[in-house]
Amino acid sequence: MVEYKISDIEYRSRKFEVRCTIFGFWRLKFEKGETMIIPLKKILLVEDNPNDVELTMEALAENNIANAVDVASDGEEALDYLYYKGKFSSRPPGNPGVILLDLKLPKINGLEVLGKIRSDAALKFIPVVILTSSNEESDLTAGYSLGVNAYVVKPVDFSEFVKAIRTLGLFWAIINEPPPGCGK
Amino acid sequence: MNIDIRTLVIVLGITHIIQIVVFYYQYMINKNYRGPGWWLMWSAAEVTGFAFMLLRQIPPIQKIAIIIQNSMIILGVIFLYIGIMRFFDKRENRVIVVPVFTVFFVSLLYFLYVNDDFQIRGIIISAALAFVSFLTAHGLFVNKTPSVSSSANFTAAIFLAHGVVFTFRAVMLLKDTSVNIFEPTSLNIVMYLDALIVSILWTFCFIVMINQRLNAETREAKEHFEKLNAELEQRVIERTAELEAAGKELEAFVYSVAHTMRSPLRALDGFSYILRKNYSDKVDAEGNRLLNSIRSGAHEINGLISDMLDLLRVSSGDIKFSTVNMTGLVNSVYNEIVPPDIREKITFSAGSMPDAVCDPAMMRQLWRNLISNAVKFTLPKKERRIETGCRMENGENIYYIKDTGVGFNPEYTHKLFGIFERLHKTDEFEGAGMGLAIVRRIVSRHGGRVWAEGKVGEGATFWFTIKKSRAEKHEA
Repeated sequence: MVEYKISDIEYRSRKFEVRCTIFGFWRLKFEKGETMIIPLKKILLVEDNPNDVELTMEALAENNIANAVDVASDGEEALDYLYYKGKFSSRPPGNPGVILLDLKLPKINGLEVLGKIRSDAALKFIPVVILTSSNEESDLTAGYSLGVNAYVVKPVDFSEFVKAIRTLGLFWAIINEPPPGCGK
Repeated sequence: MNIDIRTLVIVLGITHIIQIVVFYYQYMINKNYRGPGWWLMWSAAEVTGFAFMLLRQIPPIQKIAIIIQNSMIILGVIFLYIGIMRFFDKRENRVIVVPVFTVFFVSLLYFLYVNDDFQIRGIIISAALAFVSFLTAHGLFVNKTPSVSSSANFTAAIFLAHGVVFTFRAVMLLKDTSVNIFEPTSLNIVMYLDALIVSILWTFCFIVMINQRLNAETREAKEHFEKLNAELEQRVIERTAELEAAGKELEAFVYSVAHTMRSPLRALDGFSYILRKNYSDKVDAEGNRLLNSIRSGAHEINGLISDMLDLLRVSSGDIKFSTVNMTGLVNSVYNEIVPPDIREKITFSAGSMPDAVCDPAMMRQLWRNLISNAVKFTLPKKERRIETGCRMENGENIYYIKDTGVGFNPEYTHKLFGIFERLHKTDEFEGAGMGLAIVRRIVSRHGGRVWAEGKVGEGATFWFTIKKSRAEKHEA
C-alpha cells in the first residue's frame, strides 16, 4: 500500500496526520497511533485553460491529492459529468465531494453551471467553490446569491496557489462532512 | 364755435414738437426695431410743414412756403407709411408711393405757378393725404403680426377715418370758394381738429404697438429659453448617461483585461516554479537565477495589475461614508501590512487622531499605501521612526505621516503623485509608482488635498485633509 503524507492537521481537536491511499481512501493517522480510514471524496475541477488545469493538478499533486480529481474543461462538460452524459456516461456513480469551479468558461459559464446545480434537487447540496482570478464585487455577489459555498481567488504566485489548494483540499475533501450522497 | 385757425396750427406744431421728443426716445430705446426712426421723421416733417404754413403770410416767400408746407405734410404721412411697413419688417410699395408723390408735386407746382388755383391745390393735397392714409391702413391690415393685432387694427381704423375725413374735404372743396386756409370755416376747423386728434392718437398707437411687440417678444424669448433650457438639461442627462455607460463599459473592459492577463502570469510563475523544482538536477545555479527572474517579472506585472485595479476602483467606485476611528485604523493597517520582524526595527507611533467621516475601505487603502511607503523608504536608514498624527488648522483636520527615511528631492514634489511616477530606481525600491496616485485619487474623491514635504536623506512627511462639510452633511 503506497501512502503519501499530506499534512499534519487538527481534526475534531485531535492532531493527526493525513495519508492518502491510491485505493480511494484517506487514512488519518492520529498521534496516539489510532488510524481512521475515510472514503476519498472526489473533487471535480471545472477549468477551461489547459495551463490552469495543469497548474491546479500540479498544486494538487504537491499536496498528494491529485488522484482524487476529475477534470471538466468547460461548463457543458461539467454538467455532462454531473448527469453522466457524453464522455462521463460510464463514470462511477456519485456526486463529487466538492466542485472547484472557474467562472469564465466557454459555452456555459461558471455561474450558469452553479445555477443549474442549485436548481436540481439531486445536485443542489454539492459543495461548490468558485476558484477564479476575478475578485470583482459583481462576481462575488452573483456567486454568493446563487449559493456558492466558498469563493477563492487564484493567486498568481504558485507557492501561494499550492497553499490555497492544500487548504481547500484538506477542508473540502477531509474535514468537511459532505451532504448525504456526495463524495463517493 | 369761434376757433382761431392760427392757434390751432400753433397747437399742432407744439404737439408735433412733443412727438419729436417722444419718437426720438422710442428710436433710441428700440434701435433694433425699424419704424420709430421714420415716425420721428414724420413728426419733424409735420413741424417743418406747420412752420412754413405760418410763413405763407409773408408775401415774398408765400409760394415757396406753400410748396414746402404741402410737400412736408405729404412726405410726413409717407414717412408714417414707410415706418409702419418697416416696423413689420416689410418694404414700402414704392411703385405706388413714388408716382403718387410725383403727380402730387408736379400738379402742386402747376396749380401754383402756371394756374394759381387755391381750390384745386386743396383738392390735390386732400386727395393725396386720403390716398396715403388708405394705403397705410391697408398696409397695417395686411402686414400686422398676431402679437400687435389689436393696436394695429385700432391704428388702421384711425388711418381709415383720417382718409375718410380728407376724402370728404376733397369733395367739399369742389364746391367751396373760400381762398384763405386760415379762414375759420367748419371744413377748415374739422381738418385741423382731425390733424390734431389723429396725430396724438397715432403717437399713442405706435407706442402701444411697440409695447405689445416687446411684450410678445419677451414672452417668446422666455419660452424659447425655457424650452432650450429643458432641452439642454435633457441633453445633459442623456450625455451623462452615455458617459456613464461608456465609463462602465471601459471599466468592465479593464477588469476583464486585467483578469485575463493574470492567467498567463500564473502560467509563467507556476511553470517556472515547477521547472525549478522538478528539474533541479538539470537546472544549474544560473538557470535557477533566470527562472527566479521570470517569476519576479510575473509578480511585478501582477502587482501592477493590482495597483491599476485599485486605482480604477477608487476612481469609479461609490463612496460609502461612515465614521472611521483613524487611530485604530492606522494601528490595524500597520500591524496588517508590516511583518513582525520588520516592526521590531521601526519605532512606530500613531498619535491620537480625531475620527473621520469617510469611506472606510478607501481610507484603509490610503493608509496602507502611505504606511507601506514610509516603511519601504525608512528601512535602509539607521534611525527608523514613523509617526502619524493630526493637526488642526483653520478648522480643518490635517492628518500626516512623517518618517525618517531616505526622503526625496523637493524639486520633484509635483511628480510624486503622478501615475507610474517613481523618484527612485526600480532596483533600489520595489513598486510601480502607483501608490501615491491612488492616495491622491482617494483624497480628491473625499474633496480634500494631499501634499508632501521632504529632503533627500532627511525623511518625508505626507499631509492630507478630507472635506469636512461633506462629513457634516452626512451626519445630519
